[in-house]
Amino acid sequence: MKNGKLMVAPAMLWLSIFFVIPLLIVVAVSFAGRTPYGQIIFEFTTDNYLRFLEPLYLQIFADTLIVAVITTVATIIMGYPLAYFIARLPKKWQQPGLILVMIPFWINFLIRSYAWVIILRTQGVVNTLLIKLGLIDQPLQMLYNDAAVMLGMIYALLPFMVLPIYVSIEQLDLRLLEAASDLGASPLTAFRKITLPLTMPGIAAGTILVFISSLGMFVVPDVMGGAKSALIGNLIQNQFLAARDWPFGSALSIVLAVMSLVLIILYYRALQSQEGGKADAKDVA
Amino acid sequence: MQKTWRSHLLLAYSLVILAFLYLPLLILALYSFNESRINAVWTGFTLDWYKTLFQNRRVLEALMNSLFIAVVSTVVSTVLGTIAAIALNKYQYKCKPVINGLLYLPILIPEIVMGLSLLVLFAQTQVPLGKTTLILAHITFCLSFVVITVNARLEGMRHELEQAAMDLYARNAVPDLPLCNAAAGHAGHRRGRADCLYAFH
Repeated sequence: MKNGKLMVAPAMLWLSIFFVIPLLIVVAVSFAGRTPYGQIIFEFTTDNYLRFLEPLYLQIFADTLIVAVITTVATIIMGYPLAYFIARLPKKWQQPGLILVMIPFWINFLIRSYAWVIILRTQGVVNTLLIKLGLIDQPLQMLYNDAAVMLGMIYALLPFMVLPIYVSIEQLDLRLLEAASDLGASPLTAFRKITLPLTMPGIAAGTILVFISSLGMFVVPDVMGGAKSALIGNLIQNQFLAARDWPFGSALSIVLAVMSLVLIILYYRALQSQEGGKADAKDVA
Repeated sequence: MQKTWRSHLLLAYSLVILAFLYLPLLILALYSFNESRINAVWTGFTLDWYKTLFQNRRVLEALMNSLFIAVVSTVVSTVLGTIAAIALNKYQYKCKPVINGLLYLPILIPEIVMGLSLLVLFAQTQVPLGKTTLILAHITFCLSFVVITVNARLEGMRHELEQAAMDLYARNAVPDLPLCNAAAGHAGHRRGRADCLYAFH
């Protein structure tokens, strides 16, 4: 039925109009100049990209990468056991368990970050408690630094990691683990050699979701890091709102997008070469 | 599950993480009843803040707008996405890599880039920003999520069908799909909503 194939067309059309074309416009704008008042002049210039190579901006980019990596690693450490726990619950408790993890996720980043502000700020819950207990004299400055930003990001993105990992753990054939223990493997070995490799797709999916999200985040760094937060998300947002330098903002966005894609491709290559190695070992054994 | 020290440790760890997830929200909810305006010191229980909230017409208007945008975006992105996923699953396409690439790209690119690319589009085409542009943006974000989720489900289902019924002429029943992708779409754009509103206003 030829008509059936066209079913995919509406979605493709939509994405072409509202995703591809805007991106192309952004690429065009990234090569444009601007008047001192922020109007875009369509002349071809690579100034915006060259500006990115200044140490200031490179530093911001490096900081963003570091924060993203730490956030991703932390969500894996926190998320994997939780996903495993839910996947090993009796069947009827698994859906409620997942929903339990998802509910905070449905409350948006702004509100969830603000909850942490209430807890951590100088007049916040923690400080008030500590002062009342007489443990400290002066309130602790727990917000508006990189650690607070990372806390906010981990908090916001944890469900993103838990869900894909849960899916791949749930698909794991328990008989493989039984076989392993029959053959004399300790639980740790069974985990290392069977569970971990087979749940890698879940970890990979979660990693990509968390990493990409944290690279571009600006809401959480804004709330938790304030003016001191200098991540690429804030920088781009700044260019478009306050600084009115759309060409530079566009250039930054394109750099960010390209970097994200490159990193993902590298990640997948690394994963595939790892799996290839393991497959060889299995064949030999 | 055997009651080993390992399973107890896992339970404890999971409970800690869940507490981590919920405690800030509970504290937030708790302090919305606090009489004091700025301090974390508990001065008294009050519903005043909620009273003011529900009397504030602008806030209620904003809430209604958000709900409207959410509903419309969910419905459209779910419908478009599900149709596309079913098509991808049923038929072979020669340009499959291109289609897949186009579908996965929105997820692989940070949302801020997508958000402001639409901002640039609307600015260049002189479209005034408002409810419509927000809806358009949300649908664009969510489309990929819906397609990927539904597709994953369909692939899983096909597997089961192939295994179980080689010679049974089972029609492609999609019973739990609507639930599945509604949830995906819903979750997807609720998330995007704050970012989007923030970016555009």
